[in-house]
Amino acid sequence: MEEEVLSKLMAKQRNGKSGIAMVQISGSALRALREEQGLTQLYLATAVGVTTETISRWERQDSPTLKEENALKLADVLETPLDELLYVEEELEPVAEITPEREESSPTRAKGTALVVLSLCILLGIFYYFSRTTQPIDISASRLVPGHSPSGQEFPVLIRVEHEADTTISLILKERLPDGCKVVRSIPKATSVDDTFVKWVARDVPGSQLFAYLACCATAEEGGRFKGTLLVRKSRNSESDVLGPNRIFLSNYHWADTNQDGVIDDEELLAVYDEFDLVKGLQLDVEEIESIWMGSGYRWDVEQARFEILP
Amino acid sequence: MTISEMLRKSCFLFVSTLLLFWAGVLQAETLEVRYLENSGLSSVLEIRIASPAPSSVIVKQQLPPGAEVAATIPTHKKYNNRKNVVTWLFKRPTPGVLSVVTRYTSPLQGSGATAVIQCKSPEDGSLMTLHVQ
Repeated sequence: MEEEVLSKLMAKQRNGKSGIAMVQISGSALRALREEQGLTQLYLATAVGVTTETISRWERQDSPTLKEENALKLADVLETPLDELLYVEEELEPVAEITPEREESSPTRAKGTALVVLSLCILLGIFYYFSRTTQPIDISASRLVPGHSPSGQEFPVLIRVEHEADTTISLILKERLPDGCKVVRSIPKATSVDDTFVKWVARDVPGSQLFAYLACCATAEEGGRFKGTLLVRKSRNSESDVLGPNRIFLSNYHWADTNQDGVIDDEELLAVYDEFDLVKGLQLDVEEIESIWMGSGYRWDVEQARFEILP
Repeated sequence: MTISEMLRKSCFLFVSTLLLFWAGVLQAETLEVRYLENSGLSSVLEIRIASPAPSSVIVKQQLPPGAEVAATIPTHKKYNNRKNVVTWLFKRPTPGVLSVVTRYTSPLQGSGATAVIQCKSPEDGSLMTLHVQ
């Protein structure tokens, strides 16, 4: 579609009343693109951040109106230009005139059409067969989170996703933190972060991939839990949970001091490097941990909200 | 004892020996440590790091009574005068040979220094501890 026509369409469809840019998409185009790519409504809903009912409603309607932001997200997930999704009124489509010559050759044309329809049916049959026989991908996600941390201190959370697909895959990883905790930084950069919620829409994920974030808890309620879910694109997998430790407690001990004895010993320091220093760019304060290890111990200063290293 | 029993026992012994041999090889694969020199005015500790290398290695050298450190290469991280223990931390070491040299102010007494090397196994993350004399 010409850019000019597209911009006219967008401008025409924008609703200026609420100040939010709205666009009209084609429900049938949305459904066709989704089915063509073998995606579930749940996958699309998770990626856009709406419910499956909303996706279903958009697909049922001829020309549903939705936020431009959501339409862009849809286009992104479907890996298609936005104009492929936009609703186009019939009058914009050029109507082909039937010439007398064509009418004359109608028996040949009918034969050709029948062949095309037959070929399409065979292709659809093959597509249906392969989409039905697609096996679920063997995939797992496990979380590594310290058992405790002082209030307001940053600590790392690692989620390792491992799969046995022959190629790279696309997936959506979501993680909800306990109330009172928030995400400070994420690697790779999360698609969306909302204090206690972080989401990655990741493409080309190899057999083993780390997703990590720094978090801090001001008032983590006792028993608050991390809850993560994983959804794979183009597979018959249903949404699965992120496994592993899922609780953190507030205490006056450093998160790396796993036995909470006021000292970071050799084994605890080795564990920091072995488990948490893998993710570059997370800006984990390993220097401070090393300084504590070099000293004889540490004390958490509640008022100053910092560690006092004992010489 | 019948021939089949003998054969079965021989097979079992052979497989067990093979397994023990491989276990020894695997254990030796991550780190191999020995003193090249450990008397007089210096100690030289050689650490062979296999691939994949551990994420970090801690070396603790216990000095004999009366020994005093003049210099270390590479420079140590900690020196506990009271316990006479020198500590090094090697972060993200590369596979190959690592030499740890300690020079003393006066000749070492007795059998020289001893060392304890610790790291996490790159295979399963378990703690590995090696003692060297």
